[in-house]
Amino acid sequence: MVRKIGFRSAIIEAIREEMLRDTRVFMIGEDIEYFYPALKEDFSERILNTPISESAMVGVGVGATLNGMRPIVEIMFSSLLPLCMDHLVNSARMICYQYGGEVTCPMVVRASIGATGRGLGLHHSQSPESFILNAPGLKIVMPSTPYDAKGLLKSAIRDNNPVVFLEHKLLREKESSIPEEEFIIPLGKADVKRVGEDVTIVAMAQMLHKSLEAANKLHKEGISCEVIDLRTLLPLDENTIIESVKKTSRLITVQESPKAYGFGAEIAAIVAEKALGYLDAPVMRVANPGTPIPCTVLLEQAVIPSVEDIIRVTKEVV
Amino acid sequence: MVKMEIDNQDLLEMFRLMLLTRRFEEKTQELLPSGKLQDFCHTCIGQEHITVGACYNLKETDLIMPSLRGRGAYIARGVPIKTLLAVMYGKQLGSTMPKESVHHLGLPEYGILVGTGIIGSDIAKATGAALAAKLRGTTQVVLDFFGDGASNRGDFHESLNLAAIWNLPVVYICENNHTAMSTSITESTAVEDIADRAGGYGIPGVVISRNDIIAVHTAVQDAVYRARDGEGPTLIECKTYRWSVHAGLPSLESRSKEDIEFWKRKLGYPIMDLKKELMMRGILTKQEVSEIEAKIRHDLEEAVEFAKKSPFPVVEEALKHVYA
Ligand SMILES: Cc1ncc(C[n+]2csc(CCOP(=O)(O)OP(=O)(O)O)c2C)c(N)n1
Repeated sequence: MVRKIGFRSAIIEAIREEMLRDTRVFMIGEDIEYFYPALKEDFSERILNTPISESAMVGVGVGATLNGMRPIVEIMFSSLLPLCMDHLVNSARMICYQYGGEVTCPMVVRASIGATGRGLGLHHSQSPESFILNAPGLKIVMPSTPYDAKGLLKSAIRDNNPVVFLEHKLLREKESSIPEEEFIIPLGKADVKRVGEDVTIVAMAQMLHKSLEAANKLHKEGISCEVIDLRTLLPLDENTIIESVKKTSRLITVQESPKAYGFGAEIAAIVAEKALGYLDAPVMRVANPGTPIPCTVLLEQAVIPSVEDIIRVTKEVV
Repeated sequence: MVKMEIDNQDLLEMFRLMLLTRRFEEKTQELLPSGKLQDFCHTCIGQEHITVGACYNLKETDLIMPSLRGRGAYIARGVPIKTLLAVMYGKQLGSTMPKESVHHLGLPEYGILVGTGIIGSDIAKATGAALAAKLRGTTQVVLDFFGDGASNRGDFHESLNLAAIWNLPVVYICENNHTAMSTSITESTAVEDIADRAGGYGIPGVVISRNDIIAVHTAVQDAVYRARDGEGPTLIECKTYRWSVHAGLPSLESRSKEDIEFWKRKLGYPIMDLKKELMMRGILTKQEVSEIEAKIRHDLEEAVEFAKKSPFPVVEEALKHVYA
C-alpha cells in the first residue's frame, strides 16, 4: 500500500516510529507540544517544550547523550543555529574523537532553512549549511522530498553521530508517495532524481525542485540534464557525482547559500581532483551572490537562484 | 537633574499616541490578507502603553532598542506612520532601502537602534550601546524592550550581569505578555516575577502589575533618572497580555477567547481605561475623542496611499551595502 503524504507528516511519522522503536529517543524544542499534539499525547514527557534557550537546548541534548539518551532537538529557524554553535562545534562533533570512539553523541538537531518569498526577512530566511560544513564530526542532511525526509530522519536518529537535519520551509508544500511498510534511507547516499546525458546538475532541498523544473524546460529545447539530489552533505557521496560527470562531462552545482566557500566549491574541487580529464566545460556554480537575504520579496528573489538562472548557466556550458 | 512631572497635556498626548498605535496595528491586520504586505504583523495591541509610556518625554539623544512588539516606540519617537507602512509594503525610503522587517528597523535619526529577529540577542546589543554611552561620556540612556520569552535567553542573563558590574545607563523593560508564541509563561519560567531575576545580578527590579501607562511612564522615568545619574541599570517588568494572534497567523493561537478576556479584565484596558479617567477628570470630551479618531483615520488612509504609491527598489539594491 502506498500513501501520499506531506513533508510535515513524513517528519512526524519518522519521529513516531523511532520513538516507538527506541525508548531512549526523545524530542525537545520551542512550542513542539503545540505543533505536534499527537506526539505529545502518545509520548508525554518524551516530547518537551523548552523556553527560548537555543544554546542550552543543544547543550542539554549533548548532555543527555552522555547519559544514555538519543535526543532530537528542534530549532525553529536555522538562523538560530549560530546560537548553538558552541555545543555543536566544540562538544557534539568532537566527543567521539575526544574519547577515542568509546563515547559517542547520538543527537539530531532539526532546523528549518531557506527563503520563502513571504518576507521572513534577514534572520529567518538563511541557508546556513556552510557555517557548519567545516566541522568534521557532524553529519549534515538536507532532504528534498517527504519520502527522503522520512527515510533519512530515521537513519539520522539511529546514527551514533550528531546529525544536523535541515528542512527547507517550502518543502512543506510538497507531497510524496510513501509505502506503508517501514523503510530507511542511509545517510551519505545521493539519489539521481533525473537521468540525463548532457550535463550534471547537483542540488538539494528547494534548489533540487528548481533544478528539476529547469531540466524539464531544457529537455524541450533538446538539452538532457542529469539531476543529482545529494540528500546528505556530510558524508558526501562523491561516487555518484563522479560517475555522472564521467558520463555528461559537464557539472553545475546549485545552492541557496552564498557561493563563496559553499558546498558547490567543494564538489568542484573533488571533481577537479578526481575527474578533471572528463570535463568538457568549466564547472559552474549557481548560488546566492554573497548577500544576506533581504526582507522585501522583490529583493529576496533577486538573490535566490531561480529556474531561469539554472537554465541560463546550463546553456552557457552545453 | 529634574524629573519631569506629567501634566494634562502629557496625558492627552499619551492617549493620542496609544490610540494611533492601536489603529495603526489594526490597519496592518486589515491589510495583511491583501498579500501586499511583505512583512509579518507582530502587533502590540493591548500592550501599547508600555512602549508609548516608556518612550514618552525621553531626551532626543536617548536610545531605544524595541522588541518585536515595539510599534508604540517608533510612534512615540515621532517616526511617521507612512514611513512604517512603506517599509511594510517593501518600498524604497527616499535614498535608503531597508532590507529588514519593520520590526527590527533601525532608525538612527530617531534614536532607534538596529535590531535582529533573533529573540533576546538585542538585549546584549542594547547593553553595548549603553557601554558606548558611558565610554563616550554622553548623558544618553538606553531603553531596551523585550518579551518574557527573551528573558530565558543566555544573552538576557549575561547582559544584566555586565550592565550591573559596569554600572551602565540602561533600562531593561520586559513586556511580559505571558506568552511566547504558543508557550505560556508558566511553562517557560519558574519564578512568579521576571523582575525577581534582577536581584540575582544586584540591580533593582520593578513590577508594573497592570496595563497602566502612567505607572509605566513613572517607573521608567525613575529608572532613566537613576541611570543618567550614574546609578546603573534597572529591570522593569510590565505585566501585560497579547490580545492578537502571533505574527498575524491564527494557526499559532494556542489560547482560548476566554483566556484573553480574563486577562483583559484582570490587567485592564490600556487605552480605554485612560480615556475613562481623562473623561472623568474633565480633561477629555467625547467630541474630542471623535476628533482624534477622525484625524488618525485620515492620516492612516493617507499613509496607506503613500506606501502604495512609493516606488519599489531597483533589484540591484539587493547587492549593495553588504560591506561598508
Ligand atoms: C532566539 C529565537 N528563538 C525563537 C524565535 C522564534 N520566535 C519568534 S517570536 C517568538 C516568541 C517571542 O516571545 P516573547 O519574547 O515573549 O515576545 P512576544 O512575542 O510574546 O512579545 C519566537 C519563539 C526567534 N525569533 N528567536
